[in-house]
Amino acid sequence: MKNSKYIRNSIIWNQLISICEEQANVLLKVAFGALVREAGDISAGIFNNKGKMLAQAVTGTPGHVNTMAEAVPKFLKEIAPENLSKGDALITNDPWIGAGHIFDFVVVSPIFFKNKIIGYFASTCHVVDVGGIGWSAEGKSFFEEGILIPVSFLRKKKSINESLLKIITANSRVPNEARGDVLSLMSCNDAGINRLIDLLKENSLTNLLGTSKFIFDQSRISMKKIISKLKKGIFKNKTQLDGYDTPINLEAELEITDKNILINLEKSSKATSRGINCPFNYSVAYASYGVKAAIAPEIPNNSATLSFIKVRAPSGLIVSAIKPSPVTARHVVGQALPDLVLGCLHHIIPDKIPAESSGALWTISLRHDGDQPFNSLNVALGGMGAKHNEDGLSTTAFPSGVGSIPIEIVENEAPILYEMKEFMKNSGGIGKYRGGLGQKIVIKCIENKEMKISAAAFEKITKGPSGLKGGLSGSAGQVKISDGTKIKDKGMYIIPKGKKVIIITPGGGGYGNPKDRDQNQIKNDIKFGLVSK
Amino acid sequence: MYKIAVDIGGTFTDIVLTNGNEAYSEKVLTTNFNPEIGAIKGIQSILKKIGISINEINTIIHGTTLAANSIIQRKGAKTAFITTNGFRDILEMQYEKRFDQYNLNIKLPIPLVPRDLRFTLRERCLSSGKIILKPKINEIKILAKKLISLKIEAIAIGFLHSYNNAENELFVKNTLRKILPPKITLCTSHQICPEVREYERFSTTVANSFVRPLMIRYLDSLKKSLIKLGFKGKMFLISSDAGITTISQSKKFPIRLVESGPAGGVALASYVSKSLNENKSISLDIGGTTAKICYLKNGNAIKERKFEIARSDISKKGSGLPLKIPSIDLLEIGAGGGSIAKVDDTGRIKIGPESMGANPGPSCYNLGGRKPTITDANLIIGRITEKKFSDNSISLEKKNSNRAIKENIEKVLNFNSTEWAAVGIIEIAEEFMANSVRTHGIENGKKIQDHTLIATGGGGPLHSIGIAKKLGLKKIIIPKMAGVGSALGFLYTQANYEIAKSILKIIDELDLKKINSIIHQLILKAKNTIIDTGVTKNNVKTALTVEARYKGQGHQLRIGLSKSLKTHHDLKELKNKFIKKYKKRYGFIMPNVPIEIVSILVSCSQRKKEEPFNKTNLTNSKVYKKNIIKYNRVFDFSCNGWVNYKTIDRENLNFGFKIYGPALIRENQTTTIIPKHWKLSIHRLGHLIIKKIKKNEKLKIYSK
Repeated sequence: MKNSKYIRNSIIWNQLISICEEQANVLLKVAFGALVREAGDISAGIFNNKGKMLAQAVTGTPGHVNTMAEAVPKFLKEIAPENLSKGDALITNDPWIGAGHIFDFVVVSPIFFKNKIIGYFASTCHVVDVGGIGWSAEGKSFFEEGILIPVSFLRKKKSINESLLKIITANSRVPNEARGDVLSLMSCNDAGINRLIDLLKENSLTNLLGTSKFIFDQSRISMKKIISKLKKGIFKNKTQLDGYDTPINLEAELEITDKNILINLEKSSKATSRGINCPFNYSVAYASYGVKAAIAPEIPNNSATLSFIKVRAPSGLIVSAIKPSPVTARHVVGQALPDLVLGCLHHIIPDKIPAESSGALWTISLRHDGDQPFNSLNVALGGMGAKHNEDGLSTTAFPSGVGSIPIEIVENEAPILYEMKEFMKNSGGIGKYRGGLGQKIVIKCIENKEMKISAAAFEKITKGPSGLKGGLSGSAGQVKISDGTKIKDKGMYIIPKGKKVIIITPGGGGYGNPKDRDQNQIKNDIKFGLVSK
Repeated sequence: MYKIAVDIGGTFTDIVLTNGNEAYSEKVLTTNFNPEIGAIKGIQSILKKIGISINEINTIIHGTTLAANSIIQRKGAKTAFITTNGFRDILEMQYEKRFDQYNLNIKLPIPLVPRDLRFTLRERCLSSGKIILKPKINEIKILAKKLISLKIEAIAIGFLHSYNNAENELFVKNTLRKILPPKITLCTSHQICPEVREYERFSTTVANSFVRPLMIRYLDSLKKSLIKLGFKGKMFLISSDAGITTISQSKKFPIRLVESGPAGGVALASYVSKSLNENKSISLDIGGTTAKICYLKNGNAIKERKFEIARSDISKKGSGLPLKIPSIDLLEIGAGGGSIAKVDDTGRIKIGPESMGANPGPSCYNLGGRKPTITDANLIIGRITEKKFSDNSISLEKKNSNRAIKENIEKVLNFNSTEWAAVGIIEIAEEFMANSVRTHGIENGKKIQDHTLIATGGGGPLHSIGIAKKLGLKKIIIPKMAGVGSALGFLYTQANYEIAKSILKIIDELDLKKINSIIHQLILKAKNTIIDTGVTKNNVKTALTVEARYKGQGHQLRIGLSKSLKTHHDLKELKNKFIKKYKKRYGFIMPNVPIEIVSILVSCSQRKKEEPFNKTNLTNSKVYKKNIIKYNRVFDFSCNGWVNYKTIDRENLNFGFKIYGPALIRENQTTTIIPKHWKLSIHRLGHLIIKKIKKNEKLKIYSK
C-alpha cells in the first residue's frame, strides 16, 4: 500500500540519520585529539552499495562531510567491493581522496548483511600529527607534509593491520593519539553497522535498495522544487585573500539553470608553491555547503541533494591543486568559498545572505622541538557577518563547524599559558547591523622555552571581511610577537624565550547603512564596550 | 504520623498526603507570583479534607520549577561575574561554534550576565594548581565599591583552574564578604562545580548566583508561612538528581534544584519500579510540549553530571546553557500532544519542536489553533474521543482536527484519506520518541529490550505500546494516580548527595596518600550533607565512582569502586576494570596509553527506606462484568485500516482483571492503547500492566 510504504520509508530515513549521529557520538567519545573531541573536527555517514551517500551525522564539519560523499566511490575504485569481506575496514589520508590534507583520515567499512555488501559506513577525523614538517605551509610538496597512506586495509576480517598502524605511529610525533584516533574511526563505523543491522531486522529488510531509492527520489523532488523557484541567470562574485605572501584571487560565476546550480571557479588564481593549495574535492565540499546552507538548509545532505550543485575548475588552480602540490592549510582557500558563493546568491536572495565572515579557522599550531618537545593545536575564531535583520555572531566558526578547545584543556596538555582571550573592541564591521566581533588572544610558554608558530592559517590580515548593502568591512586580523615581529605571511615564526604571541582575529562584515542603525543598539554596544564612543 | 508532598508546576500545584498506608491527593492552581500561597492553600485544603491538623505532619517534601523558570525567562537576580583578567567573555564566547551547521540564523544562548556586569581581577593559577599571581586587596576594594554602586544582588566568582586550587577564589570571596552588605550573595566556581572546562564551570556558577536570591526569599517565605500555620516537622526539597536535600543546602546551591520538576516525574517511575521489583526500567513522560526519557536501574534514575537548560531548540545539543551539576540523565525531546506536525521540504512528515502548547492548543481544542498536532491525529484515528478528554472537560472538535490534517498533511502528500495522514503523524511521532529512547539507551550502554517501560503524562499511555513495539520491549506499566505522579514519587524519594572533583592524573602517577585524603574529604562532606537530612549515621550508604579514560581522550567511562584506592593492588584492579569496560563498549584497547583518572565521585544515599504504602482500596475481585465493555473503531497502522477496540473506563477495573488487545482503557487525563497481541492485567496496587502475548500462549476465555 502506497501510504503505509511512504510512512515506513520516511521512518527509516530518519533512523539512518540518527544512526549516523550515533556513529559521530562514538567517534567524539573515543577520539584522542582535542580538536576532534572538544571541537568536533569530524564527520560520519552511511552510503549505499554503490557508494552513494544516504545520510550523514548533523554533528561534524562540512569540509569533512562533503568530501566524504565523494571519497567512498574513490575507495571502491582502489579496492573493488568483490575483494571485501565482513569485518574489513579501509583507510586513507590521501588529500585527493579524503578531506584535502594529509591530517584527515577517512575510514570506510563495508556493511555485510546476509553475506552481501548492502552499503558502507564512513567517517573522518583530524589526526594531530602524521610526521613530515608538521602543521605548516612551508612544504614545497605534499611529500614533505607527512606520511601518506594510500587506500589500504586497516582491518582484514577480524584482524587489525598492526603493521600499517605501526607505520602511522612510527611517523607521528604523537603516536598514541594517532593510533587512538585511527581506531576510533573504525570503532564508530562498527557501532553504525551494529545499529543498522538491528534496524534491518526490525523492519524485515534485506538491503537498502528501496530506502536508497526513496531517499534519493524525495531529495531530488525537493531540490528541483527549490531550484525552480530561484531566478535563473549567472551571478558573479570575487574576493581576494592574503595568500602566502602574494594575494590570491577567488572568482565565482554561479549559474542557476532549470536543472541545477553550476559554480565556475576557473577565473581563480593558479596554485602556489606553498601549503595553502586546495584539492578540488575540498573546494567542491565547501562551495556546495555555502549554496546548500543558503537555499536548502532543511534538506538532509546526501548524494542526490549534492548532485544538484556542480563545481567546475580546470586542474592546477589554487582551488583545484594537483599532486604533488603542498596542501596542509587548504582550508584557508576552501573555507573562503562559502562566502564567495553566498556573495553570488546575494544578487537573488539578499534576505538570506549574511555579510562576509572571517572565513578560515585560524589554526594556532604551537610547538617546541627541543628538550621535552610539545605540540599544541587550537583554533581562534573570528566574527560572523551581520544578517539582513540581526548583528553577526561574535567569535563563532563559519563555515567550519569546528569550535575552540577550552583554555583549561589546552593548558593541561602543553606548557603554555593564555594571558588573554577576549572580544576585540571595534572589530565588527559597522552597518545597520554590526558584524560579529573578533577576539584577542595572548599566549606564552610557561617553561621559558622557545616556541614555533605556524602562521599558515592567519588569513584576512590585509583586508577584513567585506560588508553588504552599505555595511562596512570588519577589521582585518593581526598577529604579532612581543619582540616586535609582525606576522606578514604564512610562514613559520619563532616566539623567543619569554616572549608572547598576540593574535587578533578578524571581525565580521556589517550589513546595511550604518546611519540606519537603531539608537538603542548603538547605546548598548557602547555600554557593553563592544564599540568605542 | 503523616507526610506531605508538594509539587509546584507551571499550571498546577499537586499535593499528596500519606499516613504510610493510604495516599490522598489534591490539585490547586499554581500562584505564579508567590508560589508559596498556592502551596499553603493546597496543604490547608487537603488537611481539612482528611480532617487532620498540621501538627500531625512531620515531613514535607517539596519540588518546584521556580529555579528553572527563572533561568528560562531570564528573571533572576542582578548578577555580576568576576573572573580572571583577560577572560571577560568566556560566558559569551561559549563553544564558539554553531549548534546547527546549515542554519545561518541560529540564536546562541544569551549569557545570564551581560558584558557590563562581567568584571576581571588580576590573578592567575596554572593548570598544575600553582598560583603565579595573587589578587590584590586594593583592586578588590575598588571593585567592591563599583558592585555596590551598581546595586548588584548576587556575585559569582570564577577563576581559571580553580578546580585545582581555590585559594584565589576564596581570597576574593572572603575579602568581598567583609566589605559588601550581607544581603549580596557570593558564589565561587570551585564550590559549585570543581571541574575542569571553564565555560561549563562558570556557566553553572553564574546560574547558581542568578537564581539564589530569589530561591532564598522563596524558601524563607514558605518556611515562615508553614511555621505560622503550625508546622513543626522537617521540610526537604527535591533536587535535580531525584534525591532530597535540606533547605539550608538548597539556599546555598539552588542550582541543584533546577531539574526538580522532571526529577519528580522520574521519582514516580522510581517508586513504581521499586515497589514492583523492576530492575531495569525506562521512565517515559509525554506531556503537552515535550517527552522526557530517563533510564532507571534497580529503581534509581541513571545520573549525569552535565545537562543544558533553556535550549533555543529543544532537540539541539549546544543551544542551551550548560550546567554541570548532578542530575538525572534525562533526555527531553520536542514531541508532546501539542507538537505540530508539518511536511518538511523533503516531503516527510516532521513533528515539533514547535508546539501549540495549551493555548490555543491543538486544533480540536477549538481555541483558535489551526495547525495539526499529535492530539489531533489521535482524535482522527479514534484513539481518543470528542467527549471526556480531561478533568477540565475540554470537549474536542473533530472537524477542526480533520481540516487541519487534511490541509496540511493529506493534500500535501497526496494521501488517500485523512486517517492515513493522521496515522502517519502518529507513526512518525512514535518513531521519533522510540528512537530517542533507543539513542539515549545506547549512549548509556544499555540493552534496551530488557527494560520495562513506565509511561506517564497525558501522552504516555497513548503512545507507550506503539513505542514499546518499535523498541522490542515486552512490558509496560501505566501507574495509578499518574495525575499527581511527581508528588506521589516525592514521598518515596531517598536522601542523596553527590559530589565530584576533577583529578586529571595518570593512575600510575597517583599519590595514594593524597588521593585517599581527597576521597576521605569528599565522603565526609557528602555524609554530613546526608545526615543533615535526618538520616542516621548507620543508614548512610556511600558509593565511590571513578571516571577514567585513556590519557588524551575527552570522554570518560564510569567505574564503580567497592572500596577506596589504598594500595597499588587497588589501582591495578581499577585499571583492569577500565580496560574490560572499554573493550566491551568500543571494541579495542590502547595497550601503550596510560589510563587517566579524570574525577572522583562520591555519592551518599539513605540505605533503606520504609516500604511504600502497600495496601490499597482496590478490592480483590475477579468478577468480570460484561456490560462495562463498549466498542470503538480505531484506525490501526499495523492492520492497515479500521479495527474494533474494546473500550473500558479505568475506574471499572479491579485487581485481577485481565483483557486482551485490541482495547482502549479510558480515564480522566488519558487513554491507554492496547493493540492486538498485547494483554492487560491490573496490579494489586492499581497499576495497569501490559505485556506482549507470547507466541504459544493460550488465550483465555475473556479474550473476545
